[in-house]
Amino acid sequence: MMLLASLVLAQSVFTYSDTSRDLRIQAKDGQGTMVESGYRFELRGSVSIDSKKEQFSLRAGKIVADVVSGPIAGGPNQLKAATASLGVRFEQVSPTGSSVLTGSSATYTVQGVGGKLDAKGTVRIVNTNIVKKETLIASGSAITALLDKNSKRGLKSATLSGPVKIELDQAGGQTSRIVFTGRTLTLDGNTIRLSGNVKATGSSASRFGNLGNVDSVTVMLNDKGEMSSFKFRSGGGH
Amino acid sequence: MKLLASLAVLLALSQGGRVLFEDKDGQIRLSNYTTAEGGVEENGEFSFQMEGKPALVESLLDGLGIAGPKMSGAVTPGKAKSKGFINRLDVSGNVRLTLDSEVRFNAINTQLKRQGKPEMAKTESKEVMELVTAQLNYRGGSEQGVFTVPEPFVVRSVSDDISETKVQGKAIRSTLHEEFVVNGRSGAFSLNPGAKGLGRLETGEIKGPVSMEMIRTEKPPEPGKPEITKLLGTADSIAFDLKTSRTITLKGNIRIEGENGLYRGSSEGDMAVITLDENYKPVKIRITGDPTKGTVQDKRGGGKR
Repeated sequence: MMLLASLVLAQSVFTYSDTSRDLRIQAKDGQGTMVESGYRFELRGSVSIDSKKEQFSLRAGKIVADVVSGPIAGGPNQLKAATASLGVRFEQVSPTGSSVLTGSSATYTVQGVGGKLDAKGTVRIVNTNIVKKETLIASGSAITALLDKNSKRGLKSATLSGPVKIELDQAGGQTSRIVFTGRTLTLDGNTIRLSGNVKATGSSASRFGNLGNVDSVTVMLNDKGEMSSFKFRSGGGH
Repeated sequence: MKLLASLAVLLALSQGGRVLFEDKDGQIRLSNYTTAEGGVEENGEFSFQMEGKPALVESLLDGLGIAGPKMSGAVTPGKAKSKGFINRLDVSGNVRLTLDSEVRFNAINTQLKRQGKPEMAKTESKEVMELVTAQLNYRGGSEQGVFTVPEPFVVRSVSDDISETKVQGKAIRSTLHEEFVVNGRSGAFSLNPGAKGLGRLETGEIKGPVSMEMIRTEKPPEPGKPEITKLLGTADSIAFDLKTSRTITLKGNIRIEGENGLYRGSSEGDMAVITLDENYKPVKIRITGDPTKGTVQDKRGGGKR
């Protein structure tokens, strides 16, 4: 039985936290109803859901969240599923950095040890490495991401559909960046694959010029999240 | 005409071909590909394999274009203070290399303009060199490189320039047209894109049988008559050093034929050394061999061989 440690329905703010004060929910307006093995919260206005254990935070203008008990009695509750809209921001932190995903609307579901986020609208991923440097910024029109606090920069994998754009820091360069554009993008660990009319352009500080209209590009990241190399293919039925 | 036609094709390719890659300044360019793959390593080197009809690699600041149906190689993109260059290139099929002074001139001016510096004034000289073969390999660095041609090839160099001499204190402007053609079975050489005329064939050795043809036409203003120098040579091999000694050395079973100018007639021997002046005009021919057969002597030698 899940413990509802505190549920405050005040005039100006709604807050909830579990007994271990691990999962915290806050909103300008909210209501909770019991569902199978937990609660469903319908939240509006500057909604935030934070999990210390899972090291994530979810922010949006409107969220419907299903919270269930964790495996340990009296331990942290778990966000089982959430449907968010109006300026969604999901941040997953890991020991090697963090990933922030934003979009107009999103659904989150627990999947294995992490979670799956499907976001739509103008979506964006920003990877920040351990020294707080933004090493990757990707954008598209839709994203499916698997988030896991144990994965590199909190992001296990992601698929963006497009048109997509990704900006990457080049390894060895202080400020040099390469911008890739294409139709779809998948990120899996330290490998990024772009396909469909892929173009690459170096920033002003980069010595790289322009790569134009190839079918696919595979980018390798190093452990700092910087681009160490990339390969491309075009034509020939690839 | 052939040279002009192939240049027109290359020009069309460089202007309209599908661009795979170009560096920051747009001076190193890979284009006109149908299939391509490659990558970039941490050191910034861009490696590639391309197929095209034909695929084209250009180093515009050198006026250099290399076209072929199949090629692989690597380029280093230019940086703020250093120009990009081709590190290595292996081309096979119907390979065509061109060095075009006008392409080089335009690229330099584009770069100067971008840097906010005054552009160079247009000169009246025009120099085009073309090499056609079935396979070409190049290994080089930022300043210099060596082209290796393991298959039979032909090099055609055409240059037009204005030469000015003073006669009794009065400047006389003559037009100069120079054509140089060499055929060989294989060879290795370095090029100097910034040099004039034959000087672009900086150093190298061509194995043969080798044949060469040099035609220079100097046309003074009317009523002066054009001076046409024609020099033909065949040999087992030709070595040239147009950088320091300015010599073309024909070795083994050599035959030299000349019409007008420095050399008139024909000679056979074991070796011939043609020395050129600073404008790459032949000024001396020394033929050695036992026996040598000759019908005339060069103007400066004296006595019939």
